[in-house]
Amino acid sequence: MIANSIFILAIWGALGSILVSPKSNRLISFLTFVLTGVIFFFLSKNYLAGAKDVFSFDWLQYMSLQVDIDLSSNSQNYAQILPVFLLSLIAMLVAVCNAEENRKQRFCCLLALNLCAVSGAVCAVNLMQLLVCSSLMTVLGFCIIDDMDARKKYAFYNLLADLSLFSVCSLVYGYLGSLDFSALPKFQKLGAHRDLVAVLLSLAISLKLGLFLFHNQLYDLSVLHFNRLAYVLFCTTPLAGLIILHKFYPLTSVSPYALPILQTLSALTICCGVYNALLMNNIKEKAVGFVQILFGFGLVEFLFLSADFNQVENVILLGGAVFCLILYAVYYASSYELYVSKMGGFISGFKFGFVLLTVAFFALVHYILVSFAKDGFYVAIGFAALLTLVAAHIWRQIFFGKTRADERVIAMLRNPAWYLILSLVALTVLLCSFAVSKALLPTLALFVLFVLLLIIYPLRKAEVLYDKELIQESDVFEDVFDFLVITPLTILGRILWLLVDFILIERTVINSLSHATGLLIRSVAKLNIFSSGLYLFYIAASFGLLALLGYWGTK
Amino acid sequence: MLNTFSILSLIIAIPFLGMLFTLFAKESADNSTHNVFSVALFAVVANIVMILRIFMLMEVYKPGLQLVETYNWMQNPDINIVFGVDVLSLMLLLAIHIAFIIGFIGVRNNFEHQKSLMVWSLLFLSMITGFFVSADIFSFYIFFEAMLLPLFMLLGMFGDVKRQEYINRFLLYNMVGAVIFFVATVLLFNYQHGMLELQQLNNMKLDSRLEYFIWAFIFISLLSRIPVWPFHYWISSVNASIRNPMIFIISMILPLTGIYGFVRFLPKTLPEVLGNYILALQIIGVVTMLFIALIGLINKDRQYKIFSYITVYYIMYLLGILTRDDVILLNIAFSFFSYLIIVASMEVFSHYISKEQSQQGVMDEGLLCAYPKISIIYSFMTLAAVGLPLSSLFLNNFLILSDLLAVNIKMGIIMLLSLVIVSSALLKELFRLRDAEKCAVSVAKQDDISRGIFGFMLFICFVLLMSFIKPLWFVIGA
Repeated sequence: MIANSIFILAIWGALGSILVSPKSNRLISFLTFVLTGVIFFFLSKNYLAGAKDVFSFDWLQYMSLQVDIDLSSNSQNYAQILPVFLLSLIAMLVAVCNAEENRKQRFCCLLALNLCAVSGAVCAVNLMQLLVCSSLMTVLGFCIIDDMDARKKYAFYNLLADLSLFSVCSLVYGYLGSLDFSALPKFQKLGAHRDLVAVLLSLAISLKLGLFLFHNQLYDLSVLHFNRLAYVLFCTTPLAGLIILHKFYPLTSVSPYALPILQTLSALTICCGVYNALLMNNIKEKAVGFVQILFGFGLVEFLFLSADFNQVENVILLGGAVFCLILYAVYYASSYELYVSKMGGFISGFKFGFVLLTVAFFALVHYILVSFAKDGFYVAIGFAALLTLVAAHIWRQIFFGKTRADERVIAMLRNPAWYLILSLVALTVLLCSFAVSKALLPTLALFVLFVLLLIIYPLRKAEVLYDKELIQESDVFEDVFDFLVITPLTILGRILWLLVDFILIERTVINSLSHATGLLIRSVAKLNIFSSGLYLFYIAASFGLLALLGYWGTK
Repeated sequence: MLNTFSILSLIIAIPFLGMLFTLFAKESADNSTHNVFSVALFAVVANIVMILRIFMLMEVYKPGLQLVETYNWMQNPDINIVFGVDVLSLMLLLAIHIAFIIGFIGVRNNFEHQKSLMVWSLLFLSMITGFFVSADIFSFYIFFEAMLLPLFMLLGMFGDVKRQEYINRFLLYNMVGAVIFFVATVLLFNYQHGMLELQQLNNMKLDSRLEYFIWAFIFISLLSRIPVWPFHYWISSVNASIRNPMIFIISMILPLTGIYGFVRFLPKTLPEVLGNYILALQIIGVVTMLFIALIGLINKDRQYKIFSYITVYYIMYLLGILTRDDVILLNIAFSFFSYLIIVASMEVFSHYISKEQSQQGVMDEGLLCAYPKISIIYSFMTLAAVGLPLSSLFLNNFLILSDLLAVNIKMGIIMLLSLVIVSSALLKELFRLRDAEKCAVSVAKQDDISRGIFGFMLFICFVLLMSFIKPLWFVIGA
């Protein structure tokens, strides 16, 4: 079933993204949405029925090389693919209905292609398939990001990530002679340069996921349309990073470095996310901060507490999508007001929206608590409390207090569009459908905490930081990378170019050779000038040489 | 003639005949030289058809040279000319021919002396085709030398190289390499007391002292074609200053002859004497890669960036060849196919951008935004060049690198670092060219490439994509 879905979506997506016509823009995008919806329905049906099938074919087979493509369907693969399908459907629906999205057809078809790449990565049983699918996700993500500035860091970071992963796979294949993931545990016994493998793997995963130190690529995406931003954050390279982490997990134990690096970066990512969600004025950057918190938390659960990967993936994707939709709804309701400092007091004209968003948020909190009821429940409670604190802070600034918005914004304040409400309701129902009765008490306790925080508003002093340019605009990490990596490389390049190429080779070696050749030519020319003295000298020298040779010959 | 099946001779003859036809083609009075261009293009396309036919005739994964043709040239001394091909040589030939067509696209509107350009280009193509099908040391040497003549003529006439001394050095350097190769050929010929086929080099037992010198001569002469440190300077000076895309493509192909020479000359089992040479070559190789990659990163000249990319990849292939693994050799062939096409395309469109820049009198930043069709092709080629899965570079480079990392981890790491640096340089250049905010021109649609050329370039992108899916997709039953 997964294989069939991939083929259908690949053909549709490829044709749709090449044959773009302004006339059929909305129609084709709608048809793509319907097609994806139908496939999602059948995949869900198969998942619930526990269907399995095997689909594998030889991609390349020559000499000693064999690379297979595996697209087998099983419950594990279905469980990982279905949330991505759901989020893609929501993104397609928003794109079809939202007038702000100009390139609907291209966007929806790229999403269809990305679904193929994600499915291929999830089903991968060998290094090559994962590497190809991960790189394809990078390319498709690059195409989905329709802003050149936003693409820059995304492209460089992902290039570095893909090359790091490429190197890891090359090293593993070089030593094991096998591309299968099943052979990875052998690397512990047979493999060499394990520390290097571990560091490169950690680097690839951190770059893909946008963990702390590499997170500024995600913040650059905030110039995108909200729908595109949300999609890129969940369904392109960060998702690829998650899948890579899952597939390569056996390699994290080959060296004592990989796990601590990833664990530390995950914990720092939560801190970084909280910082940005609280202090960034731009609502899209707040959404990115929130997503960072979720990614950090998911990784902490997975890496520290060995939580189930599917649960982690669902929490990150569905939870992140809910929060992005919440902020998108606010952004839409306020006539696309970007800055939280220009909001406030929205509850008066936005009551339904307020209730809906709050319910959706607590559905997310409840889902987190239910998901980790077995593994790391107390960590989950702590994390949910942290989320509640952040949410309460944002809610307070948007819905309560004195309004700081323009009169126009207040006058035009409206409820979210029907497609946003529909998407939020669908996600809320889905999140609530997982064991409602479980962890109900902690959820209620957190709701009480939320209300208290709304009333007390403990972080009110943080509001003044919205005006600080240093916090809002500067990119410290870019400056650090520039200082530590780019500048030394540039200086080294210049030194090599000027000192070695120009001064040493051009001015010293070549000039010396040129002068030596000139000297030789001048000497030979002088020797050839006719004079009686030289004539006699040559004859004498020839006789001398003959005598010398004769002497050696007789000896 | 010992056999009658002469398809390999034919692929050498077709460009040569094309050259003769081009020479006699009539130039039109209004200085438009479509006749000459069409004849030259036809010759190259006809040869591509023949090369594809050869693919059908041979067993592609069978090791060793196939379709061998032998011609007795002289009785005393006994000299035979032997031709033969394998997948490696055919893939390279196919890529070179496609690169030539792409190069022709780049110069189709240069009406000044186009006849001479086409004549010398076709002569070079004929000679290099002969070089890649040579199966004996004598014909190998002849074609190794013969291709220099058209190259020097082309460089001198059309290279637009600013400083004549660069061309002189380039000429001198390559001639010295060719003379050293001649000495090695003569030594081998004398030692063997007659003709020597390249396949026999594997089993040849040489006197240890002679072996030392012969390998030194062969290494030096073949390296003279490759821009290795510290001798890269005059090659880089010439290549980076060439302002004619066709000539750039031709001079870019030249290092390939050195690398191909290593494939044909190095025995399957490396003799002990080669240990030191290979170690030295590995050290020089990685130093060159890092050196040129760093200079490419800081150099603002786009041509130099492309040159640094070309050099880094050439040296990676050279180091891959030194492993003498059949699978790696095959992967190098597949990888080379995409690599040559990508580099030729990038050069042609980079030249087009530079030309438009000088005509418009603006900076080239953001210029691609005014040329959407070129932008699509250039972006595709850059993304394929940096190693995304859009061509056979991706998979085959993976296999080459995995082997090299297993052989020598330090060498592999430096190589990876160099690849990251050159890829970043290309990507940075692409972003600079596509920076919409800095685009200073609004160019009318007619200034972009024509639909026909755009269609052809899309077809080339398709060929590259197919080479990723299956390297020999065009060979039935491969």
